[in-house]
Amino acid sequence: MKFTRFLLKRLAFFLVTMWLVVTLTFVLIRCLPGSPFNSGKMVHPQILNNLNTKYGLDKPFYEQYLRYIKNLVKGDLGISMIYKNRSVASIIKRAFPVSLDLGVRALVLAAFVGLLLGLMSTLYSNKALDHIISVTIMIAVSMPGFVAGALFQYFLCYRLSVLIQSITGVRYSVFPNTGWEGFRSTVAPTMALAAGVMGMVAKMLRTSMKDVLDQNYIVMSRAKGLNKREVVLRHALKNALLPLLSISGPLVSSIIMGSFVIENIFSIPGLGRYFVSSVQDKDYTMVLGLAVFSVFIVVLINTITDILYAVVDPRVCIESKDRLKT
Amino acid sequence: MKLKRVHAFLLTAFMCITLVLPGCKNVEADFNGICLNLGDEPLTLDPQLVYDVVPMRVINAVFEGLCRKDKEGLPVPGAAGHWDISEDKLTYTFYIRKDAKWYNGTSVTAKDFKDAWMRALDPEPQFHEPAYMANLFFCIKGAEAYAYGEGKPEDVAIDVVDDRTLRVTLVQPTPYFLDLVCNSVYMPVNKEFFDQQIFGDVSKYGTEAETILGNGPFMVEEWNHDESIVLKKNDAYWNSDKISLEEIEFKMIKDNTAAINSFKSGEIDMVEVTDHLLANELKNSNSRVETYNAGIVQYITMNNEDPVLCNVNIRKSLSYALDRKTLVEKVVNDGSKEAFGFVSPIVGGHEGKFRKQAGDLFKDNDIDTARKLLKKGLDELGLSEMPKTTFLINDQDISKRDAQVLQDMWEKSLGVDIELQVMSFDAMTEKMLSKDYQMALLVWAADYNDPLAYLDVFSSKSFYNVAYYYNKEFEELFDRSIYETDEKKRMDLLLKAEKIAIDDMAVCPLYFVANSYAVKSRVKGLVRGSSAIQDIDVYWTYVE
Amino acid sequence: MLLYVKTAVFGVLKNKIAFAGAVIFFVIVMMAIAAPAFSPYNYHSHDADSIFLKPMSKGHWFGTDEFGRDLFVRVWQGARISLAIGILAAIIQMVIGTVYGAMAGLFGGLADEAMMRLADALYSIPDLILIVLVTLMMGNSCFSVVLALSMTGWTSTARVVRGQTLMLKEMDFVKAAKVMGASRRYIMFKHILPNCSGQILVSLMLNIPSAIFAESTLSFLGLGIRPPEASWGTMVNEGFKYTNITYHPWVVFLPLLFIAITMISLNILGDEFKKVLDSKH
Repeated sequence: MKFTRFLLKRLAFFLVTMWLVVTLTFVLIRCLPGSPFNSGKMVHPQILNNLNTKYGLDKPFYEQYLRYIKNLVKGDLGISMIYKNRSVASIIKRAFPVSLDLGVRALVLAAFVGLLLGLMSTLYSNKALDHIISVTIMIAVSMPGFVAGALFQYFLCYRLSVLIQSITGVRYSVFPNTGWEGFRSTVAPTMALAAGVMGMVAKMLRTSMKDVLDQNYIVMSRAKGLNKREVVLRHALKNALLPLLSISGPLVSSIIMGSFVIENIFSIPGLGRYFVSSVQDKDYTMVLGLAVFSVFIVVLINTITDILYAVVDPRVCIESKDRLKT
Repeated sequence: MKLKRVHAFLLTAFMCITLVLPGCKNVEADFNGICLNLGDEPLTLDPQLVYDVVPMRVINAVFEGLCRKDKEGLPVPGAAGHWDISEDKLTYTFYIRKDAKWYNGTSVTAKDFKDAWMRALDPEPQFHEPAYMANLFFCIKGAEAYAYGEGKPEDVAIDVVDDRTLRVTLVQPTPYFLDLVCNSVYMPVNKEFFDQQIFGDVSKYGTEAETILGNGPFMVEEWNHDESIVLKKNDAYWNSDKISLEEIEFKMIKDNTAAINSFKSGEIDMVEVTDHLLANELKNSNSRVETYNAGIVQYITMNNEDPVLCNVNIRKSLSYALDRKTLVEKVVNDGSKEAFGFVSPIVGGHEGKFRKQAGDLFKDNDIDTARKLLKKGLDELGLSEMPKTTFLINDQDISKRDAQVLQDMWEKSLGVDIELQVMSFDAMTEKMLSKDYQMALLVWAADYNDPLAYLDVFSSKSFYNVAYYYNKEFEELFDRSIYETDEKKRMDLLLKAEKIAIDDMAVCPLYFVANSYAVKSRVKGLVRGSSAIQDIDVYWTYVE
Repeated sequence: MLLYVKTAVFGVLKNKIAFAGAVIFFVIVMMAIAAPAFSPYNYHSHDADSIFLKPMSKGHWFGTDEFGRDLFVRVWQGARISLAIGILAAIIQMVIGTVYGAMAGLFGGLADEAMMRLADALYSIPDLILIVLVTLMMGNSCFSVVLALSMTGWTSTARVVRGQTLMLKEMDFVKAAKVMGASRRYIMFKHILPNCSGQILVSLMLNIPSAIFAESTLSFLGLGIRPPEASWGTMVNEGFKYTNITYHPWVVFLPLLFIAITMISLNILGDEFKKVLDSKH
């Protein structure tokens, strides 16, 4: 019963947010100077007129808005004004899974490595290794995403292929410089994207581990005679992983921001480029479609995180308003 | 702990194995195909709806018009085997080849061309948007009126005489009409196939590999959006025995650094080169660097109706103060040449090239004269110093680079303060069309190879005239040249007209853009720049 | 409140690493203010004969770029812009976030719900679309970039402050103040905010590097400030695009190095502050 109430509240929130975002975006892009039809080449004024009529841009503002809302309710996001006759939905449907794939791979890798680093840091705390790790994390967190991308592409893809050619005489790209076909082309972009994020994960884990290790029941286990390793692995880890969920928001948005850049550098056919290019090209339907889609995804992720939080930590009440979200 | 170590080991071993497994396309085997970088995702592959060079590169290989360009950029027979031109040069009759076929085996007919041309002109098409480049048809009688919604479709002078004969009547003698006919907007459409691609109220023609039917040397086998396009040889093409390549892959790598890495690793066979050090590096046993001029001019357009820039001396002083030699040699440094006229050097004149006959129309880096003219101009306007002037540039890196250099040159030689305003091209166009600008950095690419394509910019009747230039003498010469049937006389008129426009410094030409690219040694016969807008031609390409 | 901050600051500075971080940041700020004024070179004047000079050649300590502009001056001029944008954006985020969060926390109930839902809604619009929209609408000036960045980052500060407010609201001294008739505004400014100041300071310190980051990513995507002004981000971006890194690596790596140093020192400072604050609780 409580759960259904939660879901219904979420749904209401989703609908209101969607309406707000669509209206705001609609108004904002129309305030921009320029038109979708002049973005490549100057067009003959009569043809421009014909184009505006075809896409309904000569109708009054509110009429266009209402038409869009009507179609949106029916589930029709319209066709792109730049990519002729291609429906916005089909573009998103094709491109999003690629971005999702890249993002998930990077998240998993970042979590894995971040966990490893965080663990080693706690186990060997205040020894030399810990300091080395802290420094590495600092550097990883301080490098803009495109630097990691450019460096990985240059060394892992290009340099490696040159090396192989000088050894074997055959020109062979172990990791292709661009594209998203087959496992090998996913390696470099995943590593580049994960690099920026794993710092965040490792840092978070280190702090939460320290907190957990100070807890009573840990001290008890130590007192009982379990050695440090076992204590960390068996008891502390589970509880330390929990706060990771709380940074899931910034984590996911880091991955998303980072993936735009990585997709650009490695020519990955994902959704990232459309976010920037559709606004620059004034592709009104595409921008609105992307905004609608993003709201949907963000609300979905937030809901899943909230549910996970409640499932994992029974102390948290899913409806509690005072639950401190960081 | 033990478990974790085993896991890590297995993972590493697994990864090593997958790495060693061979990929297929990278190894230089007997692969009769090439891999090129298209640069970006094509907006569509519908020949009537394209206006950008990226999709045209593919369309040029997949479709064929009545004529096509040869290696030097001159129109030669394509789908039309031969044609007749009437005495008054107003009527063209095209005879289509017997063996011109669509990929699916059906014959190419005259009706296919008429259908395509009419759908491009249609002001209210039902299943697609109006064609951006429909204005290329306005030389045909009745076309312009139809596009304006004022004329009837029956009045457009395109006649299907029979299945393989097409007759067109023009408004005035248009010596470059055959050149126009090579454009992608003039290519045919198979109406039957087109009708099968209609879903609801939208036509999917040209949006996916399966929805494209062409009559050119190649066909679209795969179209992986944002990733690659794969073309395979079209055996139904009438000249298919002369086509050597079996397969072409177009990748869509936007970031040029990534493309260069890709090229050096052997993944693609051609890449654009902008840095001369890189060009030197790539001139080795594995690859060569070629440069071509595609007829593009980089120039500054000035609002001749602006209260300050209306003065011809001020415009001249701004132009004379620039050191184009330094700009071209030290900054641009890719083979581009300084421009002291507006018509590109690749345009043919009456005897040889137009530019060669016209010569340089003013001096470079003439700072003393520039300063004198500036003072003179300011005096004429009653100003004591040059007010801050805005300079619009679009957000491309090359524009920002060039504009910064120009800004610095003006400051150093004339002491004038120029403010750069960066905006997207369409925002810039809006400002220029509403006369709300002072100077703007533009690029001019001609749609066909004729001086008119460039001088159109100065004609008061042309919508491209964003400099809002008007000179009575120029207009006279321009109009007379349109009706002049004698080739030599016509060119003389156009030479005189250009001189007038540049003497008035209506716009400030900067340089004629050259593009450089590196290509692998094994790829031969790749033609680039035979036309400004269809700049890759794989017709004669073969692999060793 | 001042005493509280003072003790925190001294506590942090006792830590050697944090002290180093603070010193480095201070040096960078000083250089940013002073260096361009003292150099004989101009950050925007071209010198076609001196392009791509190596560092430590002919009076150019950091070498020159593709236009012959002195990189030493450009790096510090870029520092001015990057730091100004970062600090300004972070401060605006802090102010908006703090006021919003405190109000939401204080009002509680339905108003709190509504306000936080609104914040969540704003948070769900992809940052990038908002930023691109703002920069396109208002041009590429420093001001519009700051505006765009601050519009998208204040929600996390708001959440933190709201959380703190909710907690403090239940404390005795606040309840006492309420009983004695203090107005909401008084409570907010006199009791709640001072006790949040530590958290606010920490989030400010950690927001600056992320603002600098975001700004450099923006320039990578071509949306940053207009030339010839350059922040570190635009310098790295233009370096990647125009110069061949194998031949002239310093054009890219020098501004990059300074971005990294600034970020590291700010991150260290922020972390140490956080540690001190947490231990106090």
